[in-house]
Amino acid sequence: MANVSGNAPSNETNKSSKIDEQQSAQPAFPNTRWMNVTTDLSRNPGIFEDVFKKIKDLLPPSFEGAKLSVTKMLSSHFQVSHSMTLSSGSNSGYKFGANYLGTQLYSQSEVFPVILGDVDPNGNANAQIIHQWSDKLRTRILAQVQSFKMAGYQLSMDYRTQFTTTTVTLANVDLFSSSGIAVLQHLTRVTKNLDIGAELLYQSNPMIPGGHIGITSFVSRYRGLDWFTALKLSPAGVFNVGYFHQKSNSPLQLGVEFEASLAAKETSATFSYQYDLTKANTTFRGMLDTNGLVSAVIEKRLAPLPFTFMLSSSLNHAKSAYRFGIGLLIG
Amino acid sequence: MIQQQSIVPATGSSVVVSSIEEIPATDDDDDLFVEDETTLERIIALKEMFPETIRNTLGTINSTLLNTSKLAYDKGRSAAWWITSSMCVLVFPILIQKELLQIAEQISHEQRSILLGPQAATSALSGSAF
Repeated sequence: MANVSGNAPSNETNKSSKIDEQQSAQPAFPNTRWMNVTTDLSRNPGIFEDVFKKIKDLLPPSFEGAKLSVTKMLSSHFQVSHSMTLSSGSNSGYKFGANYLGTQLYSQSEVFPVILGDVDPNGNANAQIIHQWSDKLRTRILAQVQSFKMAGYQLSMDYRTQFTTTTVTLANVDLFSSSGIAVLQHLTRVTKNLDIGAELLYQSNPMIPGGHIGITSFVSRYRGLDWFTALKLSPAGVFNVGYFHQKSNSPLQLGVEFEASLAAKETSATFSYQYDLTKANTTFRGMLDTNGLVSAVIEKRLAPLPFTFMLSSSLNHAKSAYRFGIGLLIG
Repeated sequence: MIQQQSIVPATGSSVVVSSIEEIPATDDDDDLFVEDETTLERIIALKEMFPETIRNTLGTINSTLLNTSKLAYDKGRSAAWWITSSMCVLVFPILIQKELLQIAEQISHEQRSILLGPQAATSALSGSAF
């Protein structure tokens, strides 16, 4: 099934965690104004894509080669980053990224509009604009250029109410060749612990036999005190089960995900963990896979200076290929 | 099987062979060699003492054991390597970091108790790089 809202710029998660870190440093974003929030969104189940997000966030961001990244805040709203990757892979080189945070504050950790972009001299660029029009409606526009050609563009809109979230996404819509992808997703909180959602993906492309295809899938998430289980079923033959566990205030978070695909007739299970040693300013993430892949990433903040040191290792036992990476993020 | 006629000249006597062994027709020295089998072949032929089914069963068990132990050795090597290298990468750094943290805490504890007396040593401690 096409993953429509994937391929977000890789530095997005770094930046939103930097937003949170900045948040804890100062009480609010400077030069912002509070926006009027009328609905109580505390029981909102989040968006459909985020049902498995907590488990996927435990996966280590492993890389190969050396990485150096410098981030500088030019003002309280604008941030610029230069990163150099020295690796024998295809993404070696220099990348320039810029980040703009707007003036509308909706909660302690969310400011809108957010404009993210990065570009590199090999002709690849990513850009994203996220804006919240009211406390219920949020839109996101994403564009990606690869090797000087437009590779994808997507517009998505979320509408949140007290217990439900509805998302509409349009991707790669090209009226001249009548091709495009439209996705409609809905997620509802049914009881205090149970969320159920459904998705309809419609793709129109002259190359598909019949001209168009529609795929549905269903998702559900059951929450317990320290854990949650999530299930994703698609009549097209894709089946995903996940389990996440974090005992309250424990530094260890565990996640297991099992994936089965009837069309490709293969299954795989992934076990991942994250261990935070806050006293040592270190985070360890590890992953173990039934395909014979083991990977781990260590991130350490070198305390008085704003440096983050990263070590990554990726062992592919099935192919006997071992890859290691070293990185330093400044700022 | 070769039978020799008495027309053969007197230097060789006719030999009638009733065993399955083959004797070259003109080689007459063989009657001195009563044993036509080597010692090893005789020992191997002892297997005919046992019935066919037992022989086959023992043969199967033997080859299964050999193959299983070869397989176990190979898989054992593979498993030992996989487990050791994965633990090196997943678990070992955490243990090292915890050990370093404990040693750093101990050092700062000692420094504080030397500097400010045992009271101050139990107050909040400072972390240091690495």
